[in-house]
Amino acid sequence: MHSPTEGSSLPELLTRVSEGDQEAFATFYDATARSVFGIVLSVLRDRAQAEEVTQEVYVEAWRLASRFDSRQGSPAAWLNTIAHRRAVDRVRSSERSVQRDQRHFEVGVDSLATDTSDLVVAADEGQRVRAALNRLPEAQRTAVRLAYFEGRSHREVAEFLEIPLGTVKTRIRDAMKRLRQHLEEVAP
Amino acid sequence: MSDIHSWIDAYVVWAVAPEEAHQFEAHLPNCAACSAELAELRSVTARLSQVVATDPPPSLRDGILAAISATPQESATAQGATTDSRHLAAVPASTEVRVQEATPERPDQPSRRWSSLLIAAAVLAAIGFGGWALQSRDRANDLTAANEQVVRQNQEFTELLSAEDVRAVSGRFTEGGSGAVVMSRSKGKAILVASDLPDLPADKVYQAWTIKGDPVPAGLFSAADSSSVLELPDAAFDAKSVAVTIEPAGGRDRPTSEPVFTVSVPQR
Ligand SMILES: [Zn+2]
Repeated sequence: MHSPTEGSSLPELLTRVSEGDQEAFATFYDATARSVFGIVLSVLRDRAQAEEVTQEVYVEAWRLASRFDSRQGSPAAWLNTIAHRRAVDRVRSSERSVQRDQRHFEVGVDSLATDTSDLVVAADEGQRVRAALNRLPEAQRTAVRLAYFEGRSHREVAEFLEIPLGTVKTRIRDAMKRLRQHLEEVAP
Repeated sequence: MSDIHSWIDAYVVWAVAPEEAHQFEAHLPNCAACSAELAELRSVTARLSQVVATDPPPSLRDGILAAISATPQESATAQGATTDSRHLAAVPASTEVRVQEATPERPDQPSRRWSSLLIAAAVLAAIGFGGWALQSRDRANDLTAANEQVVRQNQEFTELLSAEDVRAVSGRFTEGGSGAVVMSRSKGKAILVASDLPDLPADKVYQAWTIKGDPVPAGLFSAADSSSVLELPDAAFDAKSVAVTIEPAGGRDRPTSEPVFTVSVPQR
């Protein structure tokens, strides 16, 4: 029989998932689903589609669990990469990216990120990361929001903000660099 | 274009165009710095996603657990065919015959298997082989019989591609389309994969030949929607080349027309 899966680390769970352990998979799902569903929904902005894509993500994770390679990052990072790409690919393939309504535009990160106190020691990982985002200069935060949270290509971001493509790339690059620093300071 | 290393940030947030993603992924295996940085950046993006964490409906959990219980898993042997290799179409299709060789390293080092796998995968991707793409893009929750066959077929490819001694060589069909011979002597398996072939009239068929002296029939195939795959007979391992001609339906004992495709068989 299976040993209990509660309290196992994600790498341990994923190893068991790769051996076909469905109970471990359920625990793995419970530990990661909020973040996966969240980013997929953030990009797609449509609950029905977000549910579909989230299901695809987890079925892919189940199928390919044995190919997870810890040298390429943590299980959470691996899963998140699958989720984000699938969501963005879905948006781009349906060409809704160009039609996405500007009404929804402000619903993303910034509406959550009203707390400007970056010294808040947040109890929750989401709040810690939000604080790190808030410490970014406005222009960089916007670039991250459009590119990552809304899944726009850097060309779309450039058109949207009416700035040169090179500037978009630089902003994303600088933002990622700073986020890394900020997040290292508040590593969980 | 100038400094491909600097694309990494746009890549990690998936803001790049598909061609750029392909180019960057071609760069990755050759750049330890980018590979290491990518792992770090992915942990940043994973943490970013926590900001928008949202509870999914409980029905989704039930649906997913039901779906995975009916979904076969892939074997561990196909490392490298991760998310990245879906986009491995990085290597431009060569108009000439290319023999791809793994770098000579000690066989106990995983990197050797890794590199020959990547090369073989890249060759298949370069000719537009849609196997993995088909599989990973399909709605995994409606596993039809056709899908199951694709999955099975892909598992066979995965096994072949993960062989330590896998070799691949690609070339173009003169009438359009491209093809590759992929083989592993240790697995005793050789296949011909062809993509984007023009359809033939109903009374014609593509016929493969192994050539070592006189051509020997190696199987018939037709143009398929995605890729045509032909398992080659063992004679392929000893052959000098593999060729394809267009023959009357049913095939012939010897070629009656000029080859539309020829590649040298990868040597040991
Ligand atoms: Zn690099």
